[in-house]
Amino acid sequence: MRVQVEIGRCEGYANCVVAAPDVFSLDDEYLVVVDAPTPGEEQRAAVEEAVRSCPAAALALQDD
Amino acid sequence: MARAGRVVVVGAGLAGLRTAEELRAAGHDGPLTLVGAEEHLPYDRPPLSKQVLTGSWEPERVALRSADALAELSLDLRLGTRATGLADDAVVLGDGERLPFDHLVVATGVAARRLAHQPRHERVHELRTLEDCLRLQAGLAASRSLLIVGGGFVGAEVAAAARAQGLDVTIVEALPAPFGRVLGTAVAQRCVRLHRDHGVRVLAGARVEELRAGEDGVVLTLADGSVLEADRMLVAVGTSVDAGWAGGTGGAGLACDDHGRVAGRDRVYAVGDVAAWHSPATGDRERVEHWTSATEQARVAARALLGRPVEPAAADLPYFWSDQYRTKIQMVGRPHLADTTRIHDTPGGAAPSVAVYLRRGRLVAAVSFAAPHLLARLRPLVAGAAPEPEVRALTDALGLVPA
Repeated sequence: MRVQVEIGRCEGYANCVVAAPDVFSLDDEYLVVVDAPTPGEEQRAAVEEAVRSCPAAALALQDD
Repeated sequence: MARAGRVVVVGAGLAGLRTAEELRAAGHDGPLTLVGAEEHLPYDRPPLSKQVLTGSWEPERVALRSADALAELSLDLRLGTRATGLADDAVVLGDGERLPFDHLVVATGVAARRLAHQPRHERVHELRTLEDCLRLQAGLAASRSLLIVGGGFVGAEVAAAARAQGLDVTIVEALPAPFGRVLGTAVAQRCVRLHRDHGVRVLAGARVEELRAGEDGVVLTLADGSVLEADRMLVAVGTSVDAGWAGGTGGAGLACDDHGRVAGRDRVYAVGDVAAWHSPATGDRERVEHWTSATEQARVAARALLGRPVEPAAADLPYFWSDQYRTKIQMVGRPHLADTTRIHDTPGGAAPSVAVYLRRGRLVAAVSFAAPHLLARLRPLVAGAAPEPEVRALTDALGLVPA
């Protein structure tokens, strides 16, 4: 699976960092950074939660 | 998996849409009807007092899904349709049609509360719907001054948007401290300071005696006899629940178990602002008007309705955010439970700042100012009711100092 970010939409709420801290972090301007663009299956639930909880709808999860 | 039969979701906001999506994702391939009172496709409300009002987003961007994405859900979508009654196995719609169901999900949300004797007038605004937002936006553009009745977060965000456009803004709050009901006095003072620093007049303990609107403007008379005048007014005094059609009474919303099943009904669920779910964390029923609660409840209720296993809620924790003057204010947890509040600032007394709320030495809530990264670090500690030394270790490690 692959994490997709539409960076122009990110508003820096950090909900994704809470949901999946091993996959997402924030940069100095509080915009999302994907630390693990192709996370392992064990991260699926966390990444789905991150996608769901993004108020700006900036994230998507694509299956390979 | 048990067959869910005909599923009807009443309410086409965030909670209703997400419920429909979660039902499909969890395997419901039978009939699914989504009923919405407004004419719009499902849209998101938080931006109405934030990005749309300030003009940084085009109004179209509030759409939660494209028409194509909605089509993929194979919905019987009934927009501009209000539910007015509930029988054992059917919803009664405004035009008298009976919509039969095997399972029903109520997601009708809340409305803006109105003041007694609030005039219906072009210069008197409320903010709940997209129309309200666009009307207010146009009103602000044509005004030089704004009175805001109600010191809550909607009022605060509108104040920020109006100041950015150069309006003269006054917030009138009946309680001794605006924002105090949610955040507690100490942190509320920080919010008041933020507004005063940006030139907003904030009147606390100010009870509205009379409210008049005319062609030239609005006039507010307070209980102490003072008179305030402005070009227009926003009334933002919270919300009201009207779930009477679905058996709700007294404005308390629909009482539900911790999977959203409505008390006394087998096949009726409720999600979002209208639903008072039982919280395992507090043992009480809570009606939480927060965005993330709606999304989480949609997932849990959809799976419970279909008889699918429900993973424990990721976080049975209230969470909200507010954008004011380029400052993000975020809250997680239950500040009203706290017996102690401590504010920690960046050295120099500036933001980024966080407030931690403790009850008997354990963390029950946290609020951040311009510090989403810090709140992200504090949230697991709130979820785990961390003891004070652990909280202090984190705020120290983050380089913050007690205010």
